[in-house]
Amino acid sequence: MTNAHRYLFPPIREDKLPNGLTVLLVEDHEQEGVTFGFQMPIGEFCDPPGFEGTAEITIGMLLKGPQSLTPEEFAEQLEHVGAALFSEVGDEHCIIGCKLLSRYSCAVLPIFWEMIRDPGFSDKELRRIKREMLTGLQAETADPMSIANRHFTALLCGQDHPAGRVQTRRSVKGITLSRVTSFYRTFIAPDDGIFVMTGDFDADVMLETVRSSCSGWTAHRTVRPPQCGPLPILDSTRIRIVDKPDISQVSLILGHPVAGELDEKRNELALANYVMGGGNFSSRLMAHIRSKEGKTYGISSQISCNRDFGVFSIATSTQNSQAKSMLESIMTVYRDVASHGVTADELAKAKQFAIGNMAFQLEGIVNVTDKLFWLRQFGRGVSYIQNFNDMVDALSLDSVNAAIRSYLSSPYFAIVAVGKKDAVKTMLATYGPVRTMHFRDDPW
Amino acid sequence: MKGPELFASSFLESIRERTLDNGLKVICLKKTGAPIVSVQVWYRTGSAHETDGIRGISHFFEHMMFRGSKNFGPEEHARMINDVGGHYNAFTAEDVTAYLNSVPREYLDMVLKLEADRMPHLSISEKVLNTERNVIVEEFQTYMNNPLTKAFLEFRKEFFREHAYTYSALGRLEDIRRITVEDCMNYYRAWYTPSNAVCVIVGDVGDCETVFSKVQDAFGAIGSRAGAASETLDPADAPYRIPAATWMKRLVDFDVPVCVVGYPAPAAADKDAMPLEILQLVMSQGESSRLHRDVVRKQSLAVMAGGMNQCLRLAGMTLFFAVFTPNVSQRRVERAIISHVDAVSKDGITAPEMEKVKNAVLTNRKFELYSADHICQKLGYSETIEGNYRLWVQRLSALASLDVDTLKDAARRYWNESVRHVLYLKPKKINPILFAAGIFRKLLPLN
Repeated sequence: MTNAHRYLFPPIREDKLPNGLTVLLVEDHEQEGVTFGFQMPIGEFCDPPGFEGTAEITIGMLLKGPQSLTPEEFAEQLEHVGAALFSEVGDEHCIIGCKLLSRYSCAVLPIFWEMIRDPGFSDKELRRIKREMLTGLQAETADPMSIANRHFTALLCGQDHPAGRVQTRRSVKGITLSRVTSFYRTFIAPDDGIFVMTGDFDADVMLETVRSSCSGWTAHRTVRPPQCGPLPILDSTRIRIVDKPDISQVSLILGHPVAGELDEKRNELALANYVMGGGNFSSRLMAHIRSKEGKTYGISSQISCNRDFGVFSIATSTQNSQAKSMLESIMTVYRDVASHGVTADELAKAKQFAIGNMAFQLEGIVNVTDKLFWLRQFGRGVSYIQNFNDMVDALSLDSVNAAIRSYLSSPYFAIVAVGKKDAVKTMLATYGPVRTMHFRDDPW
Repeated sequence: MKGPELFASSFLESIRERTLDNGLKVICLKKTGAPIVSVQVWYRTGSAHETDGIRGISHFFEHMMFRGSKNFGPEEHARMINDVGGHYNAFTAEDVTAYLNSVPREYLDMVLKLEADRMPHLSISEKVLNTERNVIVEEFQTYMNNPLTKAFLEFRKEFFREHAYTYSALGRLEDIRRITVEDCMNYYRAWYTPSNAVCVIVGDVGDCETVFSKVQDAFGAIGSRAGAASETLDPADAPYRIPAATWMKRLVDFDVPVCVVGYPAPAAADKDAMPLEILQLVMSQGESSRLHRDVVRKQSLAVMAGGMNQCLRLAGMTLFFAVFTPNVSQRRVERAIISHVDAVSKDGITAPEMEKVKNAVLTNRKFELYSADHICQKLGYSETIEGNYRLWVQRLSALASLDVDTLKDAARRYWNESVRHVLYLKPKKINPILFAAGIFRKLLPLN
């Protein structure tokens, strides 16, 4: 049994508006700050095939303000009071939010809802946002790990799965104002949405402000967000070399599909990943490949999860000449965990990390807001946090090692290497057939 | 700790300080809200304290500090923090090297023991040094494989020519390859002493007197070491000779052209530091900033524009930049940025701009206060770089009394042509899609 606190989530005032919006208000008077956001269960998986980037552009267009104001006037109004908008567009959800001083929250909330309810979409702003995104995609070509990430996603998930359809210059260029407007009318609505506000306010007063500023928005989502099945099974190792001749290191990402967030083994997998590569210097990958062999500055593994599927991946970089021995070292560590599982001592430490780290995930109003969004995204209540210690403590060594056997013992990988083609191709060919692309190429 | 009074005397009074007999200064603030505590040890040494032959040793040494001490094995420090759910980090800068730890509050004693053990009892072997050298070379290459980082470091070198800041903490590869165990031990003895360190503790820690007692137990027996540097660099010891204006062009493996315009800024503790920070924010923060409104939106010359102020212990720099498409002339972009700098120098800023920036700064400060780690960093920075942790608090009060004339005067003195430094990053290859996007924009003007 670990020696840690039981985490108590702050009291939540919850209400549901007639338009379907769930409102969650959490008072926190530590400082004079407020953060709020609106989360919808739609994201990049709703992008029409061939027009990847539509969700991101639509949300970006919303942030330019309502019809009643020019984008300049809108920015001036918010920034004059120190308010800062933010947005996040994920695969299956998106969030639009704001952080500001509490004294301005009643003034900003109405304009925030007007921005979402009655956006001032224009061709001019669309062209501006597209240019920013195209420039961003170009800029990514300077960063080997960003290049590796895009190619890894495409290689592992495949073009037929929404997760594999990454933004490209072509897809962004093809997005028109009518597509953005259509996306907005189809998906942007309060039903099934969640509004979370945390900070220094009176919940009774704030609930009335939210009601009065948002109740007039009666739009409905006309199409349900697409449900994605699991990722395609890897039936062989796929290797892609992305040639970037001007760099001295090779950046590597390799991985395979795993279970999703709602899988009953999700917590076991999180603990196993801590031991494998998620636990920094406590992980086997760091201990073996950085501390012992000195082959890299950093190596880590992670599991990124959507509702119904996840991706396990390992990322690192090393000298071009060490690409093969790096892969061998990674495979040695991975196969060892896959074959023998983790030890009782490793598991105890992984549990202690998971439980102790929850304190940081609940520090401050921004983290509390994020955590509430995360809980609701996966249909969880705050009892998930309050029971977290017991839930983690109850996971047995057998159960964790069974999850490893089921999900972290893949014979096949998707492997992407970004580096000098001539220096690494022969070395990687021993793992399977290699496809070579140029770093300026789109992943398809 | 709520409301405007936060930055008044009551907040300052809630911060406690103590100096142990061996010279270690301890700063403590009780902060509830989450059951965690942040412990940071800031050493007053960094790349500014290096000489030719050991450029990069401060950063090298930061790595070595995780490689084991008398009572803890290699990386045990990191593992012990990880394994209780905490996190650790470290960074090396020009003036300081800082070690940051955050843990659930019941592990405060453990962190103090870990930090106290490696202050006087670091273990450095030839074998471990060589393994870590490989890691550092990998890190160096990772930075250098980013063309923007590489070009910026060259620019910086020119900006701080013949100054303690000429080299960044990354150092020189040839020096890193040569650094020996003896170099490390000499460096350790000179700079890693209690009297050259500040320990900052913020979190849910009960009362600060108890914390001081724990720190005394952990660090009190460490003696001031023979051979230690008697004093750190002082601005007066290394006056910043402002270099004459420069104009640099670099061809880079980066598809997007970038224009950077820089001006010298004063040392962090200087009275002009705050006015210049305000001016930089008016120029470049947010979509209602001058550069965004004009250079990005009205003239449509750039895709994005921004700025930053870097205030170090001895000197600083203010930078403005614009990212643009290849069909736009660099000269036009450069002129556009400079015209706004000149306008601020000549006419100052407006009262609404002043009000806006005050609100932005106040909002940022309030949100920093939610995090024990952030507060720790701000106190550590102010104490070691600005010379007094109280300045972090007092600066905000000073903001209220700043007027537009003071700002205009600061702009006039610092932002002038004779000390302007320009960096143009030109893509080696022109990307046809971006070029076409630029032409497209030209045919369909946005405004």
